[in-house]
Amino acid sequence: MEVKNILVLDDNKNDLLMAKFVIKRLGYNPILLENPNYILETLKAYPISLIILDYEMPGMTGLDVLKKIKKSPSYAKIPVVMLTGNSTDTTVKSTVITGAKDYIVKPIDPTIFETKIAKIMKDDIESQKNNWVEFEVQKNKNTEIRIYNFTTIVSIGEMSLTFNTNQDYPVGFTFFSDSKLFDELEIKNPALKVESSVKTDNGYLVQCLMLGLSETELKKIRLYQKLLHIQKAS
Amino acid sequence: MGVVNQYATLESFDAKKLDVFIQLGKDLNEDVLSEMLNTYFQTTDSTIFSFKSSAVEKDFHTIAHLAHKLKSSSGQLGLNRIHKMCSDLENLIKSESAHLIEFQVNQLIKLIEEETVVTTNLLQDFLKAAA
Repeated sequence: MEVKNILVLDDNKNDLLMAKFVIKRLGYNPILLENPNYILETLKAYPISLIILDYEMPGMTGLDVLKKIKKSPSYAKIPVVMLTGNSTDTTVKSTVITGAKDYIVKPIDPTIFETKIAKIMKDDIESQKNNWVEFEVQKNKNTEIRIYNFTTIVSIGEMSLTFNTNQDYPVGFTFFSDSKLFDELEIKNPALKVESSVKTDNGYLVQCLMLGLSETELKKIRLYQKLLHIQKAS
Repeated sequence: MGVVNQYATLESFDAKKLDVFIQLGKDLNEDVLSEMLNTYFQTTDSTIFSFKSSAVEKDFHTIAHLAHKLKSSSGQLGLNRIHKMCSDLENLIKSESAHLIEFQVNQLIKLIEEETVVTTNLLQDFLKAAA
């Protein structure tokens, strides 16, 4: 399993070192940075799961760096924790309003640091599990990915397909189905685009638009609908 | 010397704060304590040097930033007096006009330097004992 990277940006070598050891003990890979000017290059170079930022740095403050990260669509969703030597209302408010997930007051207590980091990383994994399709798509933007998921087809029309599933599907998500139903109808992997996903008692009711079907394929679906209708009637 | 007495009531060094680094070292099978302390010695030497040169140049902004950094590092290692001195130095510069505080700033820098000599010896003894 790939070890997740945690980026720590702090101009204080002692704090960086302490963070390095605690992150290693948690089983993650620390990436340490002293100069805030290299933040975007570093984010580009490594997949980062969490960013820990020092609030008070010369030149560019932690708040400036946080704003820069939040402005960038590729990195805006990475959780950020701010390190601050000064926990005044103004500091904390500006940090949280700008989008930091939490803050840790300096001098860093390694136990508090470890507990907070472990919790955020756990929450991150939970949120990935809940949004697994979106996560896979984000992670593999430029590659073809195969996702297996159990579904029950509720209805099929000429243009749309509705199914029940145990996971949420993001609206707008387009995928190629290799459902057994399409195999039986001899329709090869039709493209489906998610139109809506509604939470139900048993999971999610997902409605998709079927894209690019030929007239022959539509005829097959019409025939299948008629058969279903006859089956239900009898 | 009210300023000196104010710090004398604090313990210079709280060895319990270093237990966590000893444990981290055991868990990771690395000499964490030694690496932490040696980095602290190096950075503090350079900070004291920069304190003095910035004081000559009356660069109070840099002194406040250096005090902020040393406050964090010393607090992490349980060096209570240095931590408090740096905190006072940082707050003093942030709250007063520069020309009014020059004497106090120089006095605090001198105290931090003296306390650094004391604590460096204590930490080196601790490191030898822990080895």
